Amino acid sequence: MTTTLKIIVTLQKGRLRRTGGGLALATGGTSILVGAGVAAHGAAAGAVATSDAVWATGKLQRLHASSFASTDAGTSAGKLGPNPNKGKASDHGGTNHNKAIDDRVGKLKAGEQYGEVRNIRKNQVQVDANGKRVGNNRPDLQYDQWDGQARKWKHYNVEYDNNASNSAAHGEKIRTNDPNAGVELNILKD
Amino acid sequence: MILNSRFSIDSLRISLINCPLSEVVAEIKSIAFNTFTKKWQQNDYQLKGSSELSAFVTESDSDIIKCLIWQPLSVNFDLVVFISNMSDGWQSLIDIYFNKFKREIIRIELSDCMRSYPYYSFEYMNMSGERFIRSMKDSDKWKFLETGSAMQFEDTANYKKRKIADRINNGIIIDYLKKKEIDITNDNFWVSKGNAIEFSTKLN
Repeated sequence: MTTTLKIIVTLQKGRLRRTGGGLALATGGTSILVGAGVAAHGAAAGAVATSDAVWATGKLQRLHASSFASTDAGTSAGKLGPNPNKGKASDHGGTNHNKAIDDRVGKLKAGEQYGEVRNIRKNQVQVDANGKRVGNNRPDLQYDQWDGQARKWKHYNVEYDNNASNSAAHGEKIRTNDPNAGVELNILKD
Repeated sequence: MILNSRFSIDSLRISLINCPLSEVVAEIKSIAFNTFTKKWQQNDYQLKGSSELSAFVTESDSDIIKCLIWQPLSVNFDLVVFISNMSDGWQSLIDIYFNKFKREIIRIELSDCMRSYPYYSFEYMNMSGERFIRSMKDSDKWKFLETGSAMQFEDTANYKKRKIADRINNGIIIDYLKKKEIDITNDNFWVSKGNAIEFSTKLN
C-alpha cells in the first residue's frame, strides 16, 4: 500500500469539501487534495472534473496519466477545457465546410431531445463528457447528450471532411483521445 | 466585482425574461417537465439573497437538474430571472423557450477574470432578431464574436479595443443591464418578490 502523502494544488478559489479518501477544496476554486494511495486517486478523479488541477508527482500522477496514455502529446490531461462556445464561432474552413457545421448545429437545436443537450462546441479543443481536455485536435462540433438508458452524459464529436482518408484519421484521433465518446464522421460532397 | 462579493463561484449564467412570473413558470414547466426523467418536482420558497445561489448553481448536473425562477424585488416591471445548475446554464431550454414563446430574453454570462478560461457574453433575443456579443479565452487565444445589429444601449467603441478582454466583460455587461433598468449589483435583485419557483429532477 502506498504511504506517500500526495498534495495537489490548483489555482482557483472555492469551498472545502470531503471527497473519497481525501479532502478537496474545489468547485471552481483553489483545489487542495490530500490523501494516500488508491483512496487519494479516487478523490482526485472527482476533483479534476470540476477544477483545473496541477498534478503533483508520484503514483497519483502516474495513475491518472495511464488513463490518458494514448492522448495527444503535450495535452494537459485532466485540465478543464475552455468554456463551450455554444456552437457560435467564426467561420471554420471553406464555405461548404462551415455551412455543414452550422447546419448540424441547427439540426441539433431542432431535435426533439435538444432539451437534454448541453455544452455545444464548434471548432474547440476536444474534451470529454466532464469538460476535461483530452486532446489538442479540434473536432468540428462537440456536444453532450443525456443518455437516459445509461443514466449519464455522453459526449459526441462530429467531423466534416472532403475525403475518406482524412475522415478516418480524424475519427481515429477522436476515439484514441476519448474511447467513451460518440463519433460522427461525414464526407462533404462537391 | 459581483462574483467575488456575492458568489463563491467563478462564473454566472443567467437568463432574464421580460414577462410576468406566472406565465414564465407555466411556459418553462411545459418544456422542462418533458425532459430527462419526466419526473419533476416543484418547490416554492422565498429567495432571500444571493448567498443561497452559490450552492444551487454548483451542484453537479450529473446527479440532479435544477432551475430557479424568480421576479427580483428590485425591478419594477415584469422581469423574471432564470438560473440553472446545468453547466452551460441550460442553454438548450432557453433556446427552445424562445423559439416556442417568443419572449424578449437577455442571456448573460459573467466570469471571474482569474479563471483559466474567462467567458463574457451578452445575448439579446426578441421577435426582431438576436444580438450576440462575446469575449472568451479559447485555449491559448482570446476570441471576440458579435452577431446581429447593435442595440441603442451598446457602446460599440468597446468592440474596437485592442485587448479582446476589454471589448466586453463583467463591467460592460452590468452597465448594459443597467441601461435596461436591471441592476444585478442591487442586493434586492437576488431577493424574490413573493416566492421563487424551483423545478428539479433527480437523474440517478
